[in-house]
Amino acid sequence: MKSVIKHILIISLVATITTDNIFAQKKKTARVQVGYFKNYDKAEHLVATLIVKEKRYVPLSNGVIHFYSVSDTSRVLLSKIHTDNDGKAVFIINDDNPKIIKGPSGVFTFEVEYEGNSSVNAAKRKIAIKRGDLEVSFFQKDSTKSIEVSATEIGLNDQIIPIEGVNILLYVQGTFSLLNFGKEKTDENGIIHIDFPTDMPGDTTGVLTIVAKIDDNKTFGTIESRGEMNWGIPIEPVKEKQRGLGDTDAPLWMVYTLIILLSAVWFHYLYVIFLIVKIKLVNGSI
Amino acid sequence: MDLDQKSTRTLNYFVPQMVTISKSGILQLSILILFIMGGFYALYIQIVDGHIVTGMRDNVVWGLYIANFIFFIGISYAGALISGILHLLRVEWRHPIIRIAEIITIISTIIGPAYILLCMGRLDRLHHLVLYGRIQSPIIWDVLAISTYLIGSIIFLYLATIRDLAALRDYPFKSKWRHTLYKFFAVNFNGNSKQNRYLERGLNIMSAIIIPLAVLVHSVLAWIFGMTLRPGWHSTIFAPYFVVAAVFSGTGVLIIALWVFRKYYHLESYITKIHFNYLGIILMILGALYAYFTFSEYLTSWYGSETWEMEVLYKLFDPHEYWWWFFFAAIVGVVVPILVILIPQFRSINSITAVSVIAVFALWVKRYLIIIPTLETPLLPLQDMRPEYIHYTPTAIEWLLTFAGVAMFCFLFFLFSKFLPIVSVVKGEEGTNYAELRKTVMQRIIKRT
Repeated sequence: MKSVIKHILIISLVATITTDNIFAQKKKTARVQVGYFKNYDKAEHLVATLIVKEKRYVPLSNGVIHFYSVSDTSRVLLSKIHTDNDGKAVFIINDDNPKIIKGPSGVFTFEVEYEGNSSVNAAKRKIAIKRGDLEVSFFQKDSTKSIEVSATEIGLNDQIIPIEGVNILLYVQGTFSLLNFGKEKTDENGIIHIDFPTDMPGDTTGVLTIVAKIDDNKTFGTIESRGEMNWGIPIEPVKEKQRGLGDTDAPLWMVYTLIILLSAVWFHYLYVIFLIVKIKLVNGSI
Repeated sequence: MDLDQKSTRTLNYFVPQMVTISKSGILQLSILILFIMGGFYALYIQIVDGHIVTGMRDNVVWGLYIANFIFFIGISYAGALISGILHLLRVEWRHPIIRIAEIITIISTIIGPAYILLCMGRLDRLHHLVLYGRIQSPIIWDVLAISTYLIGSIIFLYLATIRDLAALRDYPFKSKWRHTLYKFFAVNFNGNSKQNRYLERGLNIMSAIIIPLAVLVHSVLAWIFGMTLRPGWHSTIFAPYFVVAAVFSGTGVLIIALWVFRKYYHLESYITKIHFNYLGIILMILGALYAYFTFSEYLTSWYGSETWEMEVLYKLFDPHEYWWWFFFAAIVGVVVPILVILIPQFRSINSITAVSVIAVFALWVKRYLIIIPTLETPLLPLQDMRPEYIHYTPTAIEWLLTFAGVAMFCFLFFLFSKFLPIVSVVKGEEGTNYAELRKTVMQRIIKRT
């Protein structure tokens, strides 16, 4: 009987360890997200984000992302880039990169791929984009201030074609984020006109940074352009408080209070010491 | 200086005790010295190995040392306040207790700040406090207030002992050094009217100054906590709360000291039940005030339900964390003294002293509870930290230095009692003058009516 129990225990133990190992070897699901961005300084880049499923999807750092330029017939490796702590890998698109293949109608197709490892599954994603551009112009007539934004794309033979029917968002750059003040669809000429609000606060000279953006568009990705105008209401510069609590020099009231209090106490101490000296000097009878 | 019969009798009673030491006294003194030596050994270890030998870490940066600092400053406050008020009001029964109260003030004002030095990581930069200190910092206020207070207390005690020093100067001591010492400090006092007038004026000034100064010192200490945006500290009533707690614990220590010296020097005819009863009633009233402040403080925190305040409250009310200590400090340490003193049948010299011990220990625990649970509740949540970084546990080094502080307190008291009588020998003239003045005023009022 004892040996039966012993065998059952050993089998249970082995089964537990094996089951644990089986579970331990189960690979995690990975996903790659990719976006195309064109900054206001005309720099273009692809941003791939690698995430893996733990309890929820979390970024995976130090994963190798392969960036490919693809066409119907070929797939050319552009670069291998490691993801950062946020799981992001950024590939900068240079105009003169000969490996980038231009597809029909001026469409560029890229593929990003994570090949996986012993604990994480492989993942890949494609993105097809047209390279576009935004131009911001400012107009002022009397007190009316307006902004014109023209959206264009580069055709197959490098000709400039207006983008029709795309949403353009307008923002003013704040200290920490963008403040939206307009949104409009482009007309057949790829142009929008928006009147600029008259009550927008600027910097100390009224200068504002105005940002036009095509945001996360399926065809054009994210394109940004910006310009500066002194259309804002000048804001008085914040006067730095002198002798504040956090300054090197203490507030004057504090200094005066301390001097008065300490002087009052020490004056009495000195007077009492003077009295003690007088006691010593008085040499009379009782 | 001519002494009356009573003063001569008192002097003759105390002087033999001052110049001799009994066998049991030597044993007690040896135990105190042993504790003090233990403290020095702990200090040596701490200096050589650094603060890693304490339970303090990056998160809980204050521990036993700061609790001891607040405790000692607290009891010093009571000494000054009681002696100052009793002197100003010319309370007749003050004479046997006033000197003990003043000595408590000075000794604890010396020992308390020493714990700050023990808490500092870089003692070699201590002078930076003076060179680069910012007036905006409550720490600087504390340094200024405590040093001013200590000097004031020394002057006050000195003035109050001049008459006794003069009496001792004229006493035929065998040792020459005693005579020289008393002669120097007696400043030619022979009790003439002018000298008495100057002395009384000085005493009146100092007793009037020492009261607000003592309140200020403990308020400043409370503001170190109150002006910090930490849960359990950032409270507007912290200053008066600290002041009341300080006088409460200080009165307790005074009662204990009276009991010890009454036993040690057989002062039953000088320190009577009346003194214990009066001080007991003061302790009871202060206990009630302290209970009111405690209730108000925690009720406000609880009702506000602010996240971090609640974190601290949960810790204080959690039986696995600080509940039993909190129960002792906030309830047992207040209710028991009040009940025992309130009910006349329970009121005796020993029972009043026993409840004073409970109150003093409860107030020490309270200081510990002010500091540690708050520091264990950082405003930014801690993750992946070692347990000792989150939970503070005092080490043997800290306990050794704590006991050494208490031993040093008793040792200095003992030393003092060997240089001066522990109760006033020569009464001032103000007592009779005041009584006569009161008599005259009362007679005039009666005549008019």
